[in-house]
Amino acid sequence: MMVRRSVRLIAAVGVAVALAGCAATPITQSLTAAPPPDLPVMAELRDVPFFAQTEYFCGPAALATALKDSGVDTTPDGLAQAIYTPGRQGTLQTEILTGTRRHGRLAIPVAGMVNGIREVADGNPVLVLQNLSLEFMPQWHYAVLVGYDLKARTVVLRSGEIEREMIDMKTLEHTWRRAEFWGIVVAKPEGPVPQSASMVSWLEAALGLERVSRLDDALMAYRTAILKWPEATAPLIATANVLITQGVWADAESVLTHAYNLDQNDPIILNNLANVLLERKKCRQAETMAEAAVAAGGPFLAISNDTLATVRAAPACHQSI
Amino acid sequence: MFNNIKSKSVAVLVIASFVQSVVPIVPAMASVIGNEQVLERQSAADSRSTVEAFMNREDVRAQFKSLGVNPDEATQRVAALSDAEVADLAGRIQSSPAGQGLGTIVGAAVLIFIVLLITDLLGFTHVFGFTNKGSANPG
Repeated sequence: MMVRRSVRLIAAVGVAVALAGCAATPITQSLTAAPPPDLPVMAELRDVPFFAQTEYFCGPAALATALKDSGVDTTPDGLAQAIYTPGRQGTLQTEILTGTRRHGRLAIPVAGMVNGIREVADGNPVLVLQNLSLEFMPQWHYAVLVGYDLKARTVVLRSGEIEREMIDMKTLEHTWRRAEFWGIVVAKPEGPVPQSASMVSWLEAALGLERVSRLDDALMAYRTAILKWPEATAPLIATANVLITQGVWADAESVLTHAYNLDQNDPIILNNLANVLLERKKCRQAETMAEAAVAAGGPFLAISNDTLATVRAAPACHQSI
Repeated sequence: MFNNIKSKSVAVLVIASFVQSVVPIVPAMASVIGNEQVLERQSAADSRSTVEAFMNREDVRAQFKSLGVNPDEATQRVAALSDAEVADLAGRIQSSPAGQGLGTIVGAAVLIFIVLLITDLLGFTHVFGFTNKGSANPG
């Protein structure tokens, strides 16, 4: 039995290795051999602007391209100061992300090449990181994917000093894979939500806006998430948290109440709603919610206990009883 | 003395500006659970459902069986993995062609690769050296 299992395993590994060996670019292979029926054979975003790269400034040039396409008035020179690291003669991925956030846009990660192609088909240019050289001697380069042709097996990039660089799809698969398919699309807080975005990746990008203190943009992005994922509670909780930070208590209460109606056992909703109700001087309701939060338990129990103690000790509440 | 006060106030200013630039997002009230935690929880749940959905696919279950592994037992073991391990798996599934709905013979090779990665991680197989993390008996 053990022997048979091992033989099977070795055979499976052999097949996997052999198949992987004959197709070093499996994604190009699959996409061109059997294109998904819902994907257009070709697309090119001709209106995406171009900024020629100077010196090592491929990061600022690529980000300016993507931001400008999203309606932000910017140039590579304007960005270079904020995102270029002279010591490295280049731009780090995190700097691309923060550069996007500082301009009030969401940086949505694109997981893999198929999603990248799909984004282009949808009208969104994709900022991609490539390793143009080999792994032991990396040569990093940012470019913007703006077109593809499944029949000709080519892609079009805004890259370096070339406005319309056409290369083999296989070449992009190699160079992009060497950068672990790191890529983003730039989205507006009011939407539309790119199809690569999962609810979590959209909310994480919105949290990025909070981190650079763009609260209004973050709020807008969270509200967009409520419309896109109406059954989920996370966008409602996130929206309410911004409203709490801004001191807009009445709105925070109504948004959290909506979340509570969707899920009455979530300790986060119960705890946060208790705090908001307390602030709104609705003491009895606040206490009921805080008690329910403590009863629900979970990793935030200590905070819920705190909330309950605060509600019970609040002077405003003793007056009303 | 004056210098001392001056340098102190400069220091305070510098520290204040530094604190302001790295201050985490804190909700207005101390006992509100903030968005960092909300997202952490959501993201962990998401990764688990991505991996679960992958494990429940017919072709993936068939692959487990052909390796002599009971797919239900594999699913149970995945449930016991840490959040970080599950997040890593979910990332690999999503960025592979097999996770993007490309179902061809090439997709099958990638599928086998990921399934083997999972069986390795769960301790059913030992194909890849790099999944052997911190074994107690060296060699």
